[in-house]
Amino acid sequence: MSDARVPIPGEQRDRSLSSAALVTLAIAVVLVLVAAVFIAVPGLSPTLDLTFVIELLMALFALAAALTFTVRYLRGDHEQLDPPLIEYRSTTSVPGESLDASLVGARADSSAGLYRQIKDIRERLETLLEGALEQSGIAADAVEETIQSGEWTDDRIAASFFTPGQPFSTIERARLRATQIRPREVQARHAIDAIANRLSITDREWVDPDDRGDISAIEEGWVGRFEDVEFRDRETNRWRLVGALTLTVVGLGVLLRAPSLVLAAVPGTGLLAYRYLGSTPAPTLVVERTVDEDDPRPGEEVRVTVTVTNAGDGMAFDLRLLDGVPPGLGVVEGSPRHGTTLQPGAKTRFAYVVEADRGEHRFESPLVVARDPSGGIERTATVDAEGAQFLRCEPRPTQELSVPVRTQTSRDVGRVVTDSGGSGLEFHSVREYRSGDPMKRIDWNRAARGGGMATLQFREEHAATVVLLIDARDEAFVAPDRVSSSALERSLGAAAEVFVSRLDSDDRVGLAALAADDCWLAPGAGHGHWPLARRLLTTDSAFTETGGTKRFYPIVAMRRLRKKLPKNAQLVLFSPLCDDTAVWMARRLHAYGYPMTVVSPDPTTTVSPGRTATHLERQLRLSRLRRADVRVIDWEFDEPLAAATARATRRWSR
Amino acid sequence: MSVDRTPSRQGLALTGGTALLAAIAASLGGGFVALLGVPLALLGVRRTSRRVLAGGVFALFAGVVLAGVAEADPGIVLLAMVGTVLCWDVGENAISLAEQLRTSAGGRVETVHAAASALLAGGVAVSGYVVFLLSSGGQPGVALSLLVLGTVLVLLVLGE
Repeated sequence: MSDARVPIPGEQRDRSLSSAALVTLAIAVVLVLVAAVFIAVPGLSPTLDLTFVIELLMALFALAAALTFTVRYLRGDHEQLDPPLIEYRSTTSVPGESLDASLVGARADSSAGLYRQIKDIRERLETLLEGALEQSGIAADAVEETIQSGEWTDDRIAASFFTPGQPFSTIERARLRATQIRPREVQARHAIDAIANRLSITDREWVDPDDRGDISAIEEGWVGRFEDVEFRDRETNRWRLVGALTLTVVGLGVLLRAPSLVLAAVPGTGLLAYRYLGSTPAPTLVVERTVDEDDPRPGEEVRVTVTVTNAGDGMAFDLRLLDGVPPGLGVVEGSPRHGTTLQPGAKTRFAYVVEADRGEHRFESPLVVARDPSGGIERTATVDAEGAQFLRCEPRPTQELSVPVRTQTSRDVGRVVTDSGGSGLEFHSVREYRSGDPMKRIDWNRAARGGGMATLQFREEHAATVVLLIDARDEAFVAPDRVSSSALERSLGAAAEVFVSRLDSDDRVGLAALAADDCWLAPGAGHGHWPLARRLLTTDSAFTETGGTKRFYPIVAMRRLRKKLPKNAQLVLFSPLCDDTAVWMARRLHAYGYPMTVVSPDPTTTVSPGRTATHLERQLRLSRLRRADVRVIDWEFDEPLAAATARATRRWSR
Repeated sequence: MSVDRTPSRQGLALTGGTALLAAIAASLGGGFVALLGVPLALLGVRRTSRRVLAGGVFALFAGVVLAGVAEADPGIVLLAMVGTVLCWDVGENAISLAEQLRTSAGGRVETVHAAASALLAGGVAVSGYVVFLLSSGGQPGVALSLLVLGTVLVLLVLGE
C-alpha cells in the first residue's frame, strides 16, 4: 500500500536484514555439517568439480536473494506519494464523525487507548443523559440515582452502559465476539438510542441500535493540504519484483540445467538497467490557471481550467499534477488531478468545477509528482501557477429576509414598534389629558360624551441598534457531511441578509466576529455602511480561515466585545452551537443586558449513533438557551432561513 | 464527484494484453498454469492491490519456468518472460496512477510508459536471443549464467 504512514526506514531494514541473516546462517550451518562429515569419513568426500560447486552456490544464493526481495516488497517496502484528497473542503469537519470513529474503535492504537476512549464516550453520554433527565423534570439531585438504578429506560442494554455489570448472555457475547464487535460499542449505541427516545426525538434516520448506521467516514484517503505533504524524492522500488523474478529464473536455469531459462533473464535485466540508468526527473513546467467566472454568486459553480506547458528541453515522461484547490472549497465535478506525458514545448489542459462559498479563497500552488521513464524514482514538488490566484465570492443579500428584533431601542426614530406610548400609528393606551398634549391626539369622542378630556397614546417607533455576532471559531467550521458548505458559510449569508434588511429599517447595525482573529464594525446607519460590512464578510481572515495555531480565549473575547458594544445594543448571534462555549457566551451577553437572538444553522444529522449524539447535545443546548429567555431560531440544513424564522416566531408570540 | 481509486481502462487493457501474451506463450511451451495469472492480474489492478497483482504475475512466471523445464523453444520462453515482466510493469503503474490521480488516471501517460517499457524489453530480448543463437555452439553454459547473475546482482546492489 502507499505511504500514508511512512514507515521508519531503519525499522523495515532491520527486519529484512534479520531474515537475510537467517538464510545465511542456515547455509553456514549446512556447510559446517557437511565439512564435519567429510572430515570424519574422508572416503565420502567426492572429487568435486570446482566449477560445479561455484555454479550450485551461485544458484542457491540467487534464489535466496530473490525470496528476500519478494518478501520485503510484498511486506510493504515500496512507497509513493499519497496526496491529500483536495476535492473535499479541508477546513470543515462533520459533527459526530470522530465519536463514530471512537465507537467502532477505529481511532485507538492500543487497548489502553481503547479503554480511555470508552471512558470518554461514557462521560460524554452521561452528561447528555443528565441533561435529558433534567429537562424531563427530574430534580437535579435525583438524576444520579435514576441513572444508577437504570429506571430511565426500558432498554436494559442501554441502562447497563452507565452501571457496573454485564447485560449480555453467554450466547450473545459469543455472537459479538464472532462478529468482532465490542460489547461496549453495542451498549453505547443502545444508550444513544434510548436517550433520543427519552428526548422524544424519534424523527431520526438511524433508528436500529443494533446497526452501526451510515458511518462512511472518508476511507479512501486523507483530507488535508499540500503543506502537510512530505516533499522529497522517493524510490518506488517497483522493480524489486522484476529483479526477484530475474534472479529466480537464472537460479532455476542453472540448477535445472535449462539454458532457455537463463536466456529468459535477459528482458528483466534490461528493464533493471533502464531503471538505474534513469535520473531523477526535474521538469520545467509553466502552469496557468483561469476561472470562468470572476464574480460568482454564492453557491454558483465555477469552472477552473489549468494549462500545463513543458518549458524545459527534456521530455517529461510521467507527470501527475494536482491543482491546489482552495482548502475552503469543494470540487463538485471533474477532477483537479491530471496525469500526462509532455514533449518539450507541448501543453495540456484539464478542468474541474468548484462550488463557490462566500469569502476570498486562495488557490494553493499546484503539486507535481514527476517520475523517470521507468517509474523507479519519484520527485514531488510544487510549481507556482500564473493567472487566477483567488476566488472571491461576495454575499448578495436579497433584502427579503429579516430576523425580528427585540424592543430594546435607542431614542432615535425608527421602525421598531416599542411598548412605550407616544406618537405613532398603532394604538397603545388612553390617559388623562395633560396640558401641552397635541390637539389631534385628544379623544374628542369621549369629550363629546362628557367623559372629560383624555389623550390617545400610540406605540412609539424607534430605531434599534443591532450588532450581528458571527461565531467563526474552529467549532463553527462544521458541515452535515463532507461535501456540504459549513455552518459558518450559511451564517455569513444570513448575516448579510439581516444586515441589509435592518439598515433598510433605519436601524443601526454593527458586525463582530467571535474568532481567534478580531473583527469589528461599529454600529452605523445609511447606505455607505453596507459596503464596509460586505468587505469584512468577504475578506476578513476571521471568516475565511480556521484559527490554525491561534487560540480563541472566550473570556478575553467577551471583555473585548463588551468594551465596544453600545449600551442599548441588542445582539443577533449566528452560531451552529456545536459546543458549550457558544451557549455560555450567548447566556452571558444576554445576562449583561444585551437582548440576544441566536440564529443557529444546524450542522448535525441523525444518520449514525455518533452523529445522533451530537444532534441531541445541540438540542439540549437550544433548550438551555430558551430557558434563559434567549430567542433561538433553529435553522435546519435544507430550509430557507425565512421558514425557520417563521417557525421560531410562533414560539415567541407570548 | 467521486474520488475512488479507479484504474483506467487503458491500464486494465494493457495488463490484460501483456498477461495474455505471457499466458499464451507459456501455454504453447507447456506451462498451462500461466492461464490462471490473467484473471488474477486483472483483479489485482481492478482492486488496486499490488499483492493480488503479484500473485497473478507469479502464476505467469510459474508458467514460464514450467515451459523452460519442459525444454520448449527458447524463443517462446523468452516471449513469455517478456510478457510477465511487462504485465507487472503496466499493472503496477496503473495501480500507482489510480492511487495518486484517482478517477482521472489513464490516458497518454500509461500508453507511453507501456510503449517505452515494451520497446526496451523487446529490444533487449531480441538481441539476447540473437546472441544466444550464435553462441549456443561452443561456449560453456555456465559463462552466460554467471554473466547474467553478476549483472543482476550489481544492478540490485546499486538500487539499495
